[in-house]
This record gives sequence, C-alpha cells and structure tokens, in this order.
Amino acid sequence: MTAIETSTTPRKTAPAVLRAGAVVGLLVAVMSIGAAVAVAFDIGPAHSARAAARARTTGDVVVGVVMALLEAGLLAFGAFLVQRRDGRARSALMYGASLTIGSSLFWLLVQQKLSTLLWAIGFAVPALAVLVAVFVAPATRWFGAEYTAPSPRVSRLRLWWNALPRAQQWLWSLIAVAIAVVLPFIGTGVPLLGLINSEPGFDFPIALFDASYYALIALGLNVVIGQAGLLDLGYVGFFAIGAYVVALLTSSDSSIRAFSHTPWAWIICVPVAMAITMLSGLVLGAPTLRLRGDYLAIVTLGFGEIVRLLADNLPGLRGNVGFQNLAQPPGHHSDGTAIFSQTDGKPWYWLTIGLIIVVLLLVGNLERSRVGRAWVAIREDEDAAEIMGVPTFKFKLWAFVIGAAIGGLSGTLFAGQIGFVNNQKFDPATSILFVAAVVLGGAGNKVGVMLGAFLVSFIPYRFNSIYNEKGLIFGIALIALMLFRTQGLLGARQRLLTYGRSAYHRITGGPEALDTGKGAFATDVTKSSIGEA
Amino acid sequence: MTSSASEADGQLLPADVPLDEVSDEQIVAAVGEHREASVATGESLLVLDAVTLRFGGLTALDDVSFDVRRGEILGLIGPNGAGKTTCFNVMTGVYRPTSGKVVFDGRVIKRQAKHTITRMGIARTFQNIRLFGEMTALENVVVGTDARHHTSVPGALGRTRRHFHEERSAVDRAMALLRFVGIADRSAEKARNLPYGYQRRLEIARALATEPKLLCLDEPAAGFNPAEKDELVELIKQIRGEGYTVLLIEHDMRLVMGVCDRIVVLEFGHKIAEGSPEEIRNDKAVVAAYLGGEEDDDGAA
Repeated sequence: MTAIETSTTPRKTAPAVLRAGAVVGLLVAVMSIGAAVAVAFDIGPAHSARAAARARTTGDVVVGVVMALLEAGLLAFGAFLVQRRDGRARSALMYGASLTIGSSLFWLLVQQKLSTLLWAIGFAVPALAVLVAVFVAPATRWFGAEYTAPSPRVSRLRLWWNALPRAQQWLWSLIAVAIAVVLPFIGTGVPLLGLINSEPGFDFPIALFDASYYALIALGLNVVIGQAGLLDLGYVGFFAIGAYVVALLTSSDSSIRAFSHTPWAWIICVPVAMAITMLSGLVLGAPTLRLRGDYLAIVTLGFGEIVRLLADNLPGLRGNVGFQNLAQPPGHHSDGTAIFSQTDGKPWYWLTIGLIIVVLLLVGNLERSRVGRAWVAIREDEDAAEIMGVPTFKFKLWAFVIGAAIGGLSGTLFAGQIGFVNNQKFDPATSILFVAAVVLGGAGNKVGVMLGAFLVSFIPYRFNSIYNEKGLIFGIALIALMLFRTQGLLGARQRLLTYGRSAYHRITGGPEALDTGKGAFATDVTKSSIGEA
Repeated sequence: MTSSASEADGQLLPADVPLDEVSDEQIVAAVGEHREASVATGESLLVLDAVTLRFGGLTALDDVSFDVRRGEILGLIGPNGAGKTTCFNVMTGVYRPTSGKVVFDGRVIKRQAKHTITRMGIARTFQNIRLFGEMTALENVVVGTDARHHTSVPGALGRTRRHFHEERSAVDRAMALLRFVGIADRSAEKARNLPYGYQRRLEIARALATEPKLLCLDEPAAGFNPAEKDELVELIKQIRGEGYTVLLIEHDMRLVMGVCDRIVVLEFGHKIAEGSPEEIRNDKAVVAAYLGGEEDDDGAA
C-alpha cells in the first residue's frame, strides 16, 4: 500500500482513530444493508416495528431502502478510501455517518415506537463515533490541504454551466421549467417518480402550490438576506400584509371590500397589495436600517410580531374569526366551474411558476447591475462600500422594499388559494422557517433558495408523519449545515456584471473560474473575527 | 477620443480582444477617460485649516493646517499614533472636526454623506485591506466606477440605455485599471483568494475607479518586500503622471523620501514639520520624533 504515494504531498499512514472510524463505518454499512433488505422484504427486527407502525406507503419503504443503501455505500466507500489514503475518505465517511444519523432520526419520527428507538440508537451511536473519528483525525496533515478545497463535483458542474453558450443555458432552463410544469401530473402510480407524490397524506397539487409560493418568498427574502446581507426575521409581516390586503378588499366579511363585484378583484388586489407592502417596507426600513446585524434582526422580528398582534387585536382585522370568500383570479372551465378554486392547486401552482420566472428575470436584472453590486458590497463591508461611493442607506432601503413587494405578492397568492385569511399563519415560527429555507438552500443563490424553500415546505407534506416535528428536523438540519457547509446546499455566487461574460472571456480566454462562495453569513463571521484580531 | 461610435455605447476598449493584447496606449487612454486630466498644478486642492479633533478628553488632532496641491505627491508621516489615519478619516468624512475646517476643491467638507465626499473627488485605500472578498477583482473595481453612475433600481429593472452604457464603460475601465496597476492576470478571481500584494494593488485600482481628484493611500506598502516597494513607487509616480494628486501615508522613510514632492510630519496630533524631503531629512524635530534623538521626549510638548 505504501507504493501509492502521490508526488505532490508526502503522506503519512492513516491515524489510528481514522482507521477505527473506518472499521466502525464498515460495520454500520453492513448493518444498513441488512436493514435495507429487512425493510424491503419485510423481515427481521424491522418487521415488528413495521407491523405496529402506522400505515406506510410503498414509497416510504423504497425511500428507506434507498437511504440505507446510500449510507452503506458511502460508509463502505469511505472505509475503502481510508485504506487507499485518499483525501475523499473524510467526506465519504462524514456524509455516510450524517446520513445514517439522519435516517435513524427520520424513522424514529415516522414510527414513533420504542422498538424503533432501540433500533435507531443502534445505528446512530456507531455513526456518531465515525463522525467523531473523522473530526478528531489530523486530516490536514494526513491528506494534505485539498480536503478543504470545494467539492470538485460542484465546481465542475458550475464550470460546465458557465461554459455553456447563452442559448443552451436558456434551453436547459426551459427544460427545468417544463419539468416543474408537468410535476402535478405525476401520480402515485408512476414507478419511481411517483415517490415524490405526497398523496394520500396531502393533496399533491396543493402541496406543490405551497412549495411554489414558499419559493417566491425565498426569492424575495434572498434579496434582503442573501444579497444585501440584512438579516430580516420579520419577513412574515410582509406576507401577512399581502394576504390581509386581499382579504380586506375582497372578502364578504370585510366592511371595506372595494372590488368584490368584479371578476378582476384578485388581479386588482395584487398591485395594490404590493404597493402597500412596499410602503410598509419603507416605513420599517427608514428608521431601522441604520442598525446593523443582530440589532436589525431583533427589530424586524418585532415588526413581524406587530403585524401579527395587530391582526389579533384590531377589531377590523377579525382576529381568529378571519375573512372568508376571498376573490380569486377570473376564468372558467368549459363546464362552468372556476379555474382558480380552493380545491384545485394546479392553476395556482402554474400561476406561481409564471410569477417566479418574472421575478427571477427582474431580480436577475438587478443583480447584474449597479444595484446588485451595491448590495453585495454592503453585505461584504458596509463602511468600505460607503467610502467607495455606494449610497448604502438608499440601497439597503431598496433591498427592503423589493423584498417586501415579493413577500406581499406571495401573500396575495396564499390568500387567494386558501380563500380564507385569519391570524393563524403569520407567527414568528413561520418567519424563521422562511429564513431557514434561504439559509438551507444557500443565501445569495437564487436556485439554492428555491430548492431550500421546496425542501422546507414540501418534506412535511410528503412525509406526513413528521409534519409536527418539522421545526425540530429543520433545526437539526440547519445546525448540521452550519457546521459542515456554511454556504448552504448551493453556495452563493452572484454574477454582478451585465457584460461579465464577455469581460471574463477577454481576461481568461474562457468562462469565469468560480469557486463556491462562503455565503452571506460566513463572510460576516470572518470579517468580525479579523476586525477584532 | 477618436472613435465616437463606440464611445456612444460606453465602449472604451476594443471588444473581443483579449485583455493582455490591448496596447498600453489604449489602457492609459481608458484609465484617463472622463477625468479632468492635466489640471492646473500647484494650486491648493485640499486645505486643512486649523483642524482640531477631540474624542472626549483625547485630542487626536490639534490645530493641524496644511494643504495638498494639485498634481503633487504629498507624504504624511509620523510615528505610530501620530494621527495620520485620523487625518485621513477627517478628510473622507468619517470623522467631523471638532473645530477648523477641511476645504476640498473650493467646497467645505462638513455634513455630506461619505459617498457624496467620494463623488466630490476624494478616494482612499485602507490600512488594513478592506476589499469585497466574495466579489471578483473585476467586480471590486466596477463598484468603484459605480460611484459615478446614476442607474438605480428603475433603470436596472428596465435595462435602460444608460444602464447598458454605464455597464459597458465600467467593465472596460475596470479592466484597463487592473492592467494599469498590474494585476490583470487574476482579475477573474475572488478578491479574498488573491495574494496580499495583489489585494493592495486592487485597493488602489478600486479607489482610482471612482475617478478621484485626490487619491489617498493609507500605508500602501505595508508588508511589502523591497522589490515590491520599488514597483509600488513606480506605480504611484505613474498615477501622478496621469494627473492624479496623491496623498500618501507611509512608514517606510526610504519610500516616502523617494516618491514624495513634499512631506508633512505629524506627532501626537501636532504638525511638527512640513517641506521637501531634503528639508524633512534635516529637520531636528523630525529626527527627534523618529529616532528619539538628543532631545528625547521634548518633541512631544
């Protein structure tokens, strides 16, 4: 084995702790394969738990088998790489162990039985040992510096994407949109793909609509958090204002309903709601945007609560009773039933996809302009930005106002689809969930935050049994992410120049050499630690 | 100035020509574009008139007066804690003087926002490098050019003609500036991944991008080896040659003596000397302040 020395960095033998980790990992891998087989064929120790568990779909079982095989594969591969003294061993073991712990937790929550607890501990404890081994091992010395380098797989994907001609990027985007559009038609019966379907637990098109308006929210919040670096914990306030505008202007319970007689009521409400949320963004931002970091977060949290408490206590806003019979967009099927209804999520989902595309284009325009650069400059170093001629206050306010408008837009969609608005959906926990979607997916990355939003909103619907524990699960996921991958699932990387493509081509003769960013939060941390040093 | 067609859409460098094949003349032309080059030299550009700055009981600057003349390189030197950077901060609007005034280009610097002062024509670099780490070098410089731009949210959303014009000229000017300071080869990389010397030069390029009349460099040679310092001297001279006025804070006496036209010496917030490098070198108070000399601590009083 000593013959496989690489020429660049002389490497020592694997530390004992890492070898032990590899052995335990191999053990867990074998156990996982056993468990996968047991789940698949309904035998063994898993059987009793299964029999006693609530009814589960074949989808759950397939997911279980896939997860078990994946973690087994990763752990076994990691153990193999430790023998080869390959730098990727660390990541393989780390991901395998994390997945094992995650899936143990997942099954525990799905089944909620004592037998599952023992079974989950059996997996999670050795996996935790592997994780500890991986972190204790002096890996830099052993593997060389490259294990800290960004995952080459991600970089290659990015390079591939950046090198594509514009037309091809559009084509791929079009394919992605097409897939999103046909998604509601994938029934539970479709082999493999059908696994994504949330039925019978939850109506699939409506679950997709929920995910899509979450994606819209995440895009809006991403302008504030991801681009301008302003931690806004009260974003739900704008969402609520958007919803309440529709309610007040169109509900049969409202005394000031202005447009309830025209079929265009909902559509008229959208610009009105956006204008009002923009105004409220201005009202919140103007006095508070002089605050920074944690202080701003506290004030915005207060704003979200103020909006909710107003909804609770103002008689005109009807608190818990709420508003019924909200307007919906016009249009009828040939049989006379309305296209946009509470029961059919598909038209709402498609409408939201359309709006997401429009918002993506507009926000993209902003990103590749003086505005986007000002935002990132503010996020990176506000004082330096100001001294370099960036009117920081003005652009922070713009970020707030634009974010608010998108939040309001999302609120109108939510209110229209549900057809009912009361004070129950706008609590701080929801606000934190919005932030979680942005951070999970990768603050500053538009595709990333939409992915984050999809995960945060859709997973509880798909795995109905964990719906009530979603806060716990996403909390753990966030902690894990902040430990292992600060930049979120997809790292931030804005393109900030309209003519960047040609410019970088003139400089490097190829596409821009990009690496994954550390993201909005990591930068902040590094900066302050250097500043105090 | 010749090809009006390309100038109309903001293009400063030939399109589709790799950056390292663009001629030096074109680079210099693009760097100097729009700027009021060849200003009348000699007259005062920036005047500090009896500036005093107190932080509570601490007097950081005490009745400091000097002027920076157009087209010169003025050195601002002094031992640690003498008030050099504080002086910078008063000029760039970070601090407001307790008494006295700062006049730049005929206008008093008072309550203007910091970004307005930058737009009046004062640009600076930072003693401890403060680049936008997650941006590429090119993007960093384009942020500097944005100081002169007017596109805001409506213009960027609607992609107005002005937006495209500004974007094109900004990218070209930024690339020219990166070539000018000698770091063009890595301009596509993130600022935080650049080597130290490149980061220092990138700060200068970003400051130049704001089209300043006065460029303030805060210890630009800190951490440089002698060869790098010589290159920096060349660069500073070249910058002055392009018509910029330079104010330089520096510790390295050899560098200061080699590049400055005039030197102002601060110690404990007082101005103790002002004059040509030759005069400063022979000034007793300065020698005492720097070397401790025979007079020991008397210079402070």
